[in-house]
Amino acid sequence: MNTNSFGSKLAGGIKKFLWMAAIPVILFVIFWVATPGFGPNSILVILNQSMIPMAIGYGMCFLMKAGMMELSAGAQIILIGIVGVQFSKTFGMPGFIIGCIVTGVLTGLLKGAVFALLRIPSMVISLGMCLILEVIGRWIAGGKGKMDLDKSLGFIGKVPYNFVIIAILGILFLLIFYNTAFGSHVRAIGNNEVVAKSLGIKPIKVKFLCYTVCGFFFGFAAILQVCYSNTIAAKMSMGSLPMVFKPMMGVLIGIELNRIYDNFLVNILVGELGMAIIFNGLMAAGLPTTIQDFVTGFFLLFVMLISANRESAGDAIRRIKLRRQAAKQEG
Amino acid sequence: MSDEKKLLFQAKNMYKSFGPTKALVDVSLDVYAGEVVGLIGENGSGKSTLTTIIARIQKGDQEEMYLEGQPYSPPDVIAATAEGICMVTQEQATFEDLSVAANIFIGEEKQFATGPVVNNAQMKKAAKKALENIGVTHINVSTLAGKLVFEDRKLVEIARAVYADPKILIIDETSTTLGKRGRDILYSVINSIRDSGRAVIFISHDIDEIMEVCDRISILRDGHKVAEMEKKDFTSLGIKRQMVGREIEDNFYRNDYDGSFSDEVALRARNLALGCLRDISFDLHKGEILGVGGLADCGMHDLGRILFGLDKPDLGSVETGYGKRIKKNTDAIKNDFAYISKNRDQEALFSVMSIRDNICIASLNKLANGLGLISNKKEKDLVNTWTNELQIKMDNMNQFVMYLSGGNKQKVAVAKWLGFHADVFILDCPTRGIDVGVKAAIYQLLSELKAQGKAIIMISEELPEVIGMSDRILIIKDGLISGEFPRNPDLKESDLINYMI
Amino acid sequence: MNETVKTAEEKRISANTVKSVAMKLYPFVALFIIVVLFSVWSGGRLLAARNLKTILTEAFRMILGASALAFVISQGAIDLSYGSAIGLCAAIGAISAKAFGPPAVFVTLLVGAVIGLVNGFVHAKLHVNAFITTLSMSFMLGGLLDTILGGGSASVPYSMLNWDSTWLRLITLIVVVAIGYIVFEYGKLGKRCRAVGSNETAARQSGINIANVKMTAYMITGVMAGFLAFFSLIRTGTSTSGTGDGFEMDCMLSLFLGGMPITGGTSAKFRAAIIGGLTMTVLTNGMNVVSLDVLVQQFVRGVIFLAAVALTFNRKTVAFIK
Repeated sequence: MNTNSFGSKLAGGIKKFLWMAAIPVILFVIFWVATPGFGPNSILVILNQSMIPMAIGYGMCFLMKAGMMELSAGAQIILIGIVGVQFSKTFGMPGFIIGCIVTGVLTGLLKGAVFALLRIPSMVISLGMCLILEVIGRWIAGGKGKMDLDKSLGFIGKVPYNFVIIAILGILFLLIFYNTAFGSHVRAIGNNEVVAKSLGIKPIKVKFLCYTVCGFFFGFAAILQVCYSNTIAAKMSMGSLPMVFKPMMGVLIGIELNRIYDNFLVNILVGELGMAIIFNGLMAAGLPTTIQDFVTGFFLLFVMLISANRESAGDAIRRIKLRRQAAKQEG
Repeated sequence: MSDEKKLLFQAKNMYKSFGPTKALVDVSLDVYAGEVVGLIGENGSGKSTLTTIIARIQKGDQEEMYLEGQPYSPPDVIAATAEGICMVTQEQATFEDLSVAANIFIGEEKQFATGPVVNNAQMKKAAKKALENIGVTHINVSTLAGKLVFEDRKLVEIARAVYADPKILIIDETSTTLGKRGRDILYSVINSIRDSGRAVIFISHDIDEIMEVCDRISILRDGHKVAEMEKKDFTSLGIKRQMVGREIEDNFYRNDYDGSFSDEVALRARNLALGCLRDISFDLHKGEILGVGGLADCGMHDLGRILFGLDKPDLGSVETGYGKRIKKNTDAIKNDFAYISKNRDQEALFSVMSIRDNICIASLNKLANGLGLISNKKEKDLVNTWTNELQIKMDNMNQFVMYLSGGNKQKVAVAKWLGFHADVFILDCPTRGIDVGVKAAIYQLLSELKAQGKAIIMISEELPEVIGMSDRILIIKDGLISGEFPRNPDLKESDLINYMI
Repeated sequence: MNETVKTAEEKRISANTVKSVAMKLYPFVALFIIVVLFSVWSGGRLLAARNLKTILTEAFRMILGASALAFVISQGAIDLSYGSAIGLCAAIGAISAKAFGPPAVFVTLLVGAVIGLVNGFVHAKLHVNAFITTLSMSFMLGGLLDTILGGGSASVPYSMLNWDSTWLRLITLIVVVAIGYIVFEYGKLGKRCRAVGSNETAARQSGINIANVKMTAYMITGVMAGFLAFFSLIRTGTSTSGTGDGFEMDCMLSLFLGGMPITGGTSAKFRAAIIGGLTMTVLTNGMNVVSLDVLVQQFVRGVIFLAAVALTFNRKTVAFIK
């Protein structure tokens, strides 16, 4: 009986996984059928495009799962990229990679320290740090305001190596999120911080670590970002904000999907892929690029609308059903 | 027998206050090896405060504790667990996004870790053992806690506490959330701890349960320890008398047994159903105090929320005497309804707002002139009138409500609705956690409101006040009204309890 | 023994009073320091007659913007779409003025009102948190703005530039701020906003129509966005994709510098908009007058943003910090 229930559970797990895998496939097929010029040849583009937001998303997932907001990711990644390129000029490939990762961790530590020190909402931290990190990036970038990576180094973040990087990040994510005490504590804090605290978990410490781990992931994201076009440009006046959007939506969609399938690795992947398909599909359908931001904003709102109203909508439907039943019985 | 009893734990001179509210005053507690000590008292008597200090969820203002003769003062919960004291709290303390196994070992993951990586398979095996330890085999350790029913989630917490192999296990009001199976498991856990020469501190306000489970009890009232009893001295009446205090005698409540009220209906509830409430109908009349009683989780608190339009019922309707439907909180206010939640500090009051703002907030429409503006003078007059009338003890009206005592806070909540000139009062546990003097004042006030022809619903977990104050009593059980009683001097608590359980 | 406990309690309370007095004074001190600092640093140029006019123009924008935002922030909510709302209002205003003549510029108010309504509806009725609602809105508006302007700009008829005058600004500023002050401090609306910010559950159980209060506040920022877009049009004559950029940050900075707590609630005072708006104006203008590098300027903003919130954030009234 035991093995039987285990077997059915496994089958249930596979079924749920197939459901998740079906989401991007269905989206793809819809656009394939509906849009001429969108088809199998778009697959590589889509995959390629979703790698950067995915890398950022896996990092942001720690913060967002602990209930925090993050808007400075763009500024942070630009800064990391600029420092990495600077290092690559002297130390070549090792300088670039190690420079990015170390700077990622250091900027993460900085944000975590500011949070732990000031103890103010993460939303404020992210807006304030966005301004500050942008300035530092711009300052290091110097005159032109952008940094070009040596063409011979760019391959590391391009097909197929970018897939390797994401695979490594995915494994690391899985390991840290599901197989460490820290990962458990992040989820526990996200569920109920007061209880977590009463059980002896230190929320400030965990959140500080969240910023640090997040920074580590951003280091890899910066490598991909720089290599995407072999250059990285500094932004000012919160111009880095739009970079946060796609990753953030991927995570939010992932959190929603978590109700169906408990694996953020898969969920965020599905979220980012799904969005890349929708965007590419819409562009192929002739939607002007300027309206992209509108679509992004609308999607974000849409996802949150569903998440915020699912329960109350369920209640309302139940209420209507019950009332109808009661009316029938009377009539 | 006494010579073989070994003193396991001792707490002396425990003090704790929250602002001006004294939650604990010079309380001491001895726990001997191989016994179950009961802590009993009304809501707000300090039971949970004392035990959460012992379990290090919070710290006392003053404390002196010894575990097995050694000074005991661990900095946090984890350290307390390590020293051998564990607590199962009243609140839900599992995390829905963590597996059962991860929930059991939260904060204790190190034992399964090599470096930073936790061996989940090993942890699951241990979790399974932890559950089997307390006789639970029906819970799969890989499931997310969020997918379990409440009872099972509580069992997971018990397994978590017991697995730490505590010298003393503290169980705070846990049995109310458990069904028959859960309770049996809990009792067998308690027995096995007692039999192995360790100890349990058991908290409840269910007197029968406490009498059955405990070997010895300490009774708390308003932050003071008022009595200790051995098992042989347990009597339901004796315990109750100590819990509520001698002051609660006849003249404390209304002393008339008139029980009459107007025929005019002020509120009409018809076929209400929501959650565990299935079909509740009644009329509330002008000049009537309608007591609503039942077990804490029978849905009577939800009933109060529905009547004020805070929750939408699945079925049925709430109407005023004139047939106006109450669907939202704004409908309630338009028809001069008033509501005071059981969770006074969180829901009925703005703790970090001034007394003045708290009292005026419901009456803004009545205070405002044609432009929607409110003069300082009008506000001050209103506040002065009602703080004087209710004798609220305060420095000045601009003081934050959080710095008042429980009783004065409740007076502010009442003043808000008196100043509003409400006609229908929906009061959920109006005397919860307030001292005896203020209780008497509230009862006096209810009588006066009745005399003025106001309609009052008093929802309460305390049967004496329901019997003592109501013109009519409704008892709720299994989502239905199981009994209705007119005011009667011969009505006993036991008469009502039969309809509750 | 009991007495020692008492004195500790009393000490805590008296320490609190000292702190609360300091909190009340801090916005004035900040304004004073910044005025003195930049007066000295600029060698008096800050307060020279010519610069005062610039300061007035800037203060007009900042104080009015912060005044409207005060209604939102006092509820513990936020409006990140403020700047982009101004951008879109200005663009649509300019285009309609070009097509239908100068009076059509008042379309800005209508557009602003609609934006506010949508924000308020989504946040209050559809229960999406304020941060996400307005962040998404800012992106949607930005996208619309880019699409409408097509990367270029739109100008209003030249004659409209004559509408602009310092006196108009001054009088408008005084009138609007006076109305805002009265409504915020003595009106039902202001009191309800603070009540919602202080404890939404208790506000609901006191019979307050939460959704109405929230929607009204967003309508106020929306209409103000339209209003400021109008003034931006008659001063500069054009609308570009950069119009209104970063305005939400400047307004938030103003309010926090003025002592408004980010969680809103009872200690939210309208003077935060006036004092903070002035401080922010002098700071921005001062940094320009002494020709501070743009990098340093943005750095200063970031640091002040963090510091001002850290100073006004009441950690005691929140169970945990998200």
